[in-house]
Amino acid sequence: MSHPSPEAIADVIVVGAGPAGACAAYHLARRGRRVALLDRTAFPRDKSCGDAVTRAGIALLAEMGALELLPSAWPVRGLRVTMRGHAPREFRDAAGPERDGLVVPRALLDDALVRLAVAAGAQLRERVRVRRLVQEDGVVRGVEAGGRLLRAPVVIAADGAASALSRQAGLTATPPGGLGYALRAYVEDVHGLDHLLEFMAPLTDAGARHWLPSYGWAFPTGPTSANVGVGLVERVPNARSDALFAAFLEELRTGDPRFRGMRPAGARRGAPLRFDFSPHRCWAPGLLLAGDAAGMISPFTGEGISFALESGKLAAEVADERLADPRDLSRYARLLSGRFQGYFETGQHAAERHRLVWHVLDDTFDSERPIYALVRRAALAPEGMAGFGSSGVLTDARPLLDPAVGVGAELVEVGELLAETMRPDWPFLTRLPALSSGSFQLSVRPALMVLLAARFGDWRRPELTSLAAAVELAGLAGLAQSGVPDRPSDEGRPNWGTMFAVLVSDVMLARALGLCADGDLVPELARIVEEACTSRMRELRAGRFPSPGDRLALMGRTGPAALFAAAGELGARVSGADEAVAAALGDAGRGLGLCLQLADDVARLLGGTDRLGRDARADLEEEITSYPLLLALREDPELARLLARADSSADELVRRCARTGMAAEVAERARRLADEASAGLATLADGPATRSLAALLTHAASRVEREVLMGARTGDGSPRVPPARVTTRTFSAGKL
Amino acid sequence: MSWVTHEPCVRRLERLGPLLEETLASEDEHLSEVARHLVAQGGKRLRPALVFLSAEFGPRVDEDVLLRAAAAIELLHVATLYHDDVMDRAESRRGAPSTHARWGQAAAVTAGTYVFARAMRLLGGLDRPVPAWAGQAVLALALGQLQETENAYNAGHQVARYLEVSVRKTASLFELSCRAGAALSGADEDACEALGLYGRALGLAFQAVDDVLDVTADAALLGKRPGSDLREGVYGLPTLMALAHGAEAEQERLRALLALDSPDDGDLAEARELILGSGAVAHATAVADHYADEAVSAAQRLPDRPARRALVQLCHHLVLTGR
Ligand SMILES: Cc1cc2nc3c(=O)[nH]c(=O)nc-3n(C[C@H](O)[C@H](O)[C@H](O)COP(=O)(O)OP(=O)(O)OC[C@H]3O[C@@H](n4cnc5c(N)ncnc54)[C@H](O)[C@@H]3O)c2cc1C
Repeated sequence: MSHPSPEAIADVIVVGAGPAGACAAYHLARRGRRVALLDRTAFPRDKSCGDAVTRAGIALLAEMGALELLPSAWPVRGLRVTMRGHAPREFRDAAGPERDGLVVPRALLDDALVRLAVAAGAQLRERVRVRRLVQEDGVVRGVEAGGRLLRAPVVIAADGAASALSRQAGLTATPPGGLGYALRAYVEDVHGLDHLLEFMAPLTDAGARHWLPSYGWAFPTGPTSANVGVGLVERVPNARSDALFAAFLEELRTGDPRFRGMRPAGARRGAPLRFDFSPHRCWAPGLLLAGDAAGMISPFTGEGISFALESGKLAAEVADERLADPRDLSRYARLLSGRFQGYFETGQHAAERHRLVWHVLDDTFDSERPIYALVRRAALAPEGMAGFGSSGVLTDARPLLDPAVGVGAELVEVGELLAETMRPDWPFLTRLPALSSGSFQLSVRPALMVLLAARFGDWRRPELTSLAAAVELAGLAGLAQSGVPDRPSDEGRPNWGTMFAVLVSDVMLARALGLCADGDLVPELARIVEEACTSRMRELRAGRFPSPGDRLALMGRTGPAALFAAAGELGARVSGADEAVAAALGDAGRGLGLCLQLADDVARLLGGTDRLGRDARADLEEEITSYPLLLALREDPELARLLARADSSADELVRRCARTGMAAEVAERARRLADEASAGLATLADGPATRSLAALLTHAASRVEREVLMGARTGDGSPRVPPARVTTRTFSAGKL
Repeated sequence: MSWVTHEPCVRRLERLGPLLEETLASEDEHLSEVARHLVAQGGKRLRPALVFLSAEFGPRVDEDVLLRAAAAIELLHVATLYHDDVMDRAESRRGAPSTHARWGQAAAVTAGTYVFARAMRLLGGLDRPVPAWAGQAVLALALGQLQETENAYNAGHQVARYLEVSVRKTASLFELSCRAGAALSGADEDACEALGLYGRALGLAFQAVDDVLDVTADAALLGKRPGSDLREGVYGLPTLMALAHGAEAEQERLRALLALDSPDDGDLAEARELILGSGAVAHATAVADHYADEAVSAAQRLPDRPARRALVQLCHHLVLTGR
């Protein structure tokens, strides 16, 4: 520095003592740093919020020891989403050692966090309003407050959605869609909310002629009290949040018996929402942004507390590390983008893309087709919810692989390449298959098959990673296309779901081909796609009820079987293995894919869920009847009538299937398929890759058996996941 | 006046039809039938013509290679038609029932992807750098389509961003056609560049004309209901111009109509009248003329050959048919 500076007041100044700031201060203090935590108010203080903390946030609270300080917090075990005109859906937390989510008034939560930061050694200064950042030579050196200059090597701006500091640093501009806005109030005398968060979207105006990018919620704060509110995701001309709020409350009161006697307790309170997080705009030399100041609120559910906590913790980590030279804090950007890629949309498309996803959710809310199940989860379900990407649904491949095969690092690399490939086009897409989640990266998937097959040739070929990523993308594209129903559901309205499926598959295919360009593999990948189309066409033409044997033959050429077969063949060929080896690996892949699919298909019919988190409702909707269901049909012809009706219940389907001998037959079939494929492996040289493939096959077959056993244990085939209550309601919000 | 009279080009176009059908053969009869549905109906084959004309500016042509490239690019275009028609729920295409109306959406989407994969297989076998260019064009197409859908029902869609979408979803294939033809014939850098610019500008002019037709033409000529883009929330150039430059009261009324969740025929007819009455068609036509001029001046940079005259003629023809 060119001129002498007055004494720094701390190692780090944290501005704002909400969840982001308090968490950052706590972790810095724990690391032995001197921290000044400044807030313009005094604690306890109220903050306009829905007060719901999901599991991801709970883990961070537990780590700070905050849960013990919040005995009155109300536990929640899932989310119930109602979209206009559709039956509600529940996303339940997966059973596991993790704790429940919580609803806790921010007056209590924030106070507890501040106290913990202080106990850890942070120096709290209340009623200090920071006026501006102090910058020298482009580096933030402190802040100005109360006419005084406060210096520290690093400043963490955690000053909320209206963050003046991030604006001053040139790190925010009002996003194109304008800021969102949300309003909440506490109510009493509500009954029967139990332990679920209630979420309703989107709200419409009185004539239901205008659709608003908005949502409403009712989160239980106790046995008979709740936090209710509405959020508008972008600025909409003529839409006023207070009118929306009043109408929403009226709707709850008159439309839902649980809210009939509801009384307000306290004033309502609103605050802006910001969704514009971008890794490029979360730091400047000497400055880190955390929480809402960095624009970290989910545009679909309004969740922000867990992101605030996590970014606060990461900011503390980076500040601690870089204290000696805080000019380059880019690691923070890397940490955040690795962690949150896909959660937030940035740039000029953000508002339009949020709207598109809302339309897709609205249009496909009742559909169980894979791509729509994925979109729903990606947009609405917080992390840790039951279903795709959460523990227990995907098999961790690692324990099955021979330790000497060593493909783990490559698998992670493939996952990163996939995310990198899709992120520039549309970050949200990387969230679809939870591409970034560890449990996905290490699950039994086509990329793994490519890498294992490559072990039979020169597995160091550089194009293998791209090939593996391309095969995954082609598979996802196929999954997306299978979401296109044969007939539009409503001729009179735009078919957002179909549009989305087609667009996404086209972008993914284009990207897959791009990944293949370097290794001259475009014709190879194109051939696989051609074959997939040919088989898909046959499958479509075979109709809903081919014989089980025909279905099995078709299954071997479509879906996971075709994908894993192609992965095995291509992986071998690209690594230079000879054709006989490639063929054997293709067969092994096919066997593996078939077993995986049989396990999924039978799991749903026995009252469980498949790898995408779908239950037997999917079987009522699909044009393609699964092999297990066809077996059941042979024994119970009544099932055909059930499938033909539009209003059939999945429970009945499960009950009826359980009464047939279908399950045992499927298990037997899977065992035989796995055995055949294993026998084919005998032609290959023994080694870690061969042993790993054999173990994967055995595991896949035993997964079918496990599903069958679990189905048998519930006896009458009663569903293992409680079904959603079926009531159809429309949320409108009066005249705006 | 026909849109292309250049003799070698016409001859090659004649050979193209059978090649397209042959390329789309599948071991599955049904797939062959559905996948050939659109090419069997003919169509103008504008993009192949651009490949052929552009190939006149280099020293050598391998007839088979050139035909293969032209077929592949045409098939890329045809593939997008399959997917577009499903997304737009178009009832007909080229005067016949659309593929999905006849065989269902799932089959139509599958056939479109099949056509696309066949095209990519052909393109992948061509000399560098054509496969790489094709890859870029394919990505541009997909992203352009995505961006267009994002902006569906967006009455705040900016004309500048609209052009960005047009560059991707329409101009990219025109440009690819010209560049591929030039590169495969060994044309020099200057010619490649000029042809690339020509293709891009022509694509933009073409898109503008197409948008104008959607509001001005009658159903018989269009093969679909006029104003159907409005119903689908795809706001073409005239609509955006009316929203940007129309009289204030009319603008506001138009915005209100477009904001309706499910407008009825009356609403749409009124919106169309407002657009027609706002002078927006003249504005949009001026945009088309602007890009047509740009295309013609790019062509003027090429050596004076019959093919150059054919490119200019093609451009004039395309823009004039929109009147
Ligand atoms: C109505 C509403 C409902 C919501 N519901 C939920 C929900 O249910 N669950 C969920 O997870 N998220 C919800 N959110 C989002 C959540 O509230 C935020 O993401 C979260 O509060 C972010 O925490 P933070 O620490 O970044 O900012 P804040 O909690 O806003 O804290 C910022 C702090 O900075 C202080 N400050 C500001 N400027 C200065 C200054 N110049 N000098 C000194 N101090 C300053 C403020 O006093 C404040 O204490 C909701 C938001 C709204 C508006």
